[in-house]
Amino acid sequence: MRKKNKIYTITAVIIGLLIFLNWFGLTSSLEQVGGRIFSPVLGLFQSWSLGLNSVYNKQGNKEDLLSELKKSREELNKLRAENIAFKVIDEENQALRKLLNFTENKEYSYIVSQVISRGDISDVSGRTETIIINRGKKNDVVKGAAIVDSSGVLVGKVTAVKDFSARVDVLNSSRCRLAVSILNSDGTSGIVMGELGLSVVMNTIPQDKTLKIDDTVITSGLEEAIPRGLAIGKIIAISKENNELWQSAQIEPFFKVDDLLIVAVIKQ
Amino acid sequence: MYKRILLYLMIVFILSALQISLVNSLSGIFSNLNLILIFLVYAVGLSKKIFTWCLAFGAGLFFDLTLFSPFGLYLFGIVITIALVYFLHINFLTNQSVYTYLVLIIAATVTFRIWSYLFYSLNSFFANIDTYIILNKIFWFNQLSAIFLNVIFTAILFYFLAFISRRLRPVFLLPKTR
Repeated sequence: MRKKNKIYTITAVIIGLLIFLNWFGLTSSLEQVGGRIFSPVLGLFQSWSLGLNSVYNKQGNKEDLLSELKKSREELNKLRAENIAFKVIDEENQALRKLLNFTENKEYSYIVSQVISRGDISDVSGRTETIIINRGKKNDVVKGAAIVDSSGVLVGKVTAVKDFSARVDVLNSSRCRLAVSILNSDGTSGIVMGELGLSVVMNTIPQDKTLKIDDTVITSGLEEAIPRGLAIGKIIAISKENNELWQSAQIEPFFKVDDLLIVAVIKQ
Repeated sequence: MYKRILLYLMIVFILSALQISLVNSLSGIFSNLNLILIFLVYAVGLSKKIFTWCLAFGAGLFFDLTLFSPFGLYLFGIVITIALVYFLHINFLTNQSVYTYLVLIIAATVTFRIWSYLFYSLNSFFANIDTYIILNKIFWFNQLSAIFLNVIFTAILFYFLAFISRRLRPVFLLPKTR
């Protein structure tokens, strides 16, 4: 009995000591060593999970693929036409900026990183609200930085940083709040945030603004670390009540958490 | 002895890495599988207490250092879970049958999930963070699927281990020898 209690006491003391050391940041060297050794292994396992998921999803969605393909082709043609129009506007914009000696926009660079984990083992809700990437403080990743996927779509924000890794709260997380605008003639602004880890909602939109389904939502550039113009998603539902001060819209993000493997941290 | 502990620790680290990067990212209910708990439950039945204790400690430390949850969540959570599994195994389930391991994995999964829920609730209360756990059909389906997956995986592993070793027996009763 005594021996049994001794093991429990020693374990409790060691755990308590570790928590105490962590409180003062003294376990960071352990984190560094672990991060360096296991980061490549975690990256490798993560890429395996993507392969397994794609096999699983293919089996589940075979019937939907044809209709999805048809829809995507139509959307692609529409986007091609829009892209040509935007290129013309961009050229005009550059020329006008030169004429007016307009101040250059802030320069941003990217830190390419790999997703090493998704979700949390202890999360009993079963929702994926966070991802972990293999770049951290030592790679100049800071809290609040924006994360984009390989096509430049905004994925979320860095909410915690360790030496060699960082936690990113994706758009459906309630900890991820962003200043955004809608690509319409009004340039409507608002705040996008996750709701219950399930959906993404744009709030604080004035009642007099006109919203349309399929309008694109982008970052407004009002936050210091996040540039203007990063695509977020499109409006799929609008909620407007006459007795409310604001209206809100439900947003469908342009990315899928399950497809993320390589992301980039935007660095100022 | 130390060589063996080191070897077991390496296995537990690799399993922890698999859990964090691979299993956690799987689609559907498969992300609810908990490889570490399954491994530790077998360690409770098959190896010395000091080994199991070191493994539980190693897994907890690995998760706490790698993930971003408040430090101590996994260390305490896994150690408490394994202490309970030990208690059940020694006092109520003394044989090495498949039923023993199935009961132990159910107990371990439920304990670890309750611990996570309590820890998150307390942490969000003291840190003033909004966390939502909706106790709807999806939530309960998730909990049941976690238990179901762990049970299935434990059973498959049991028959595999029983096939390659003589330490495990797939039934309660032994045949009468004359």
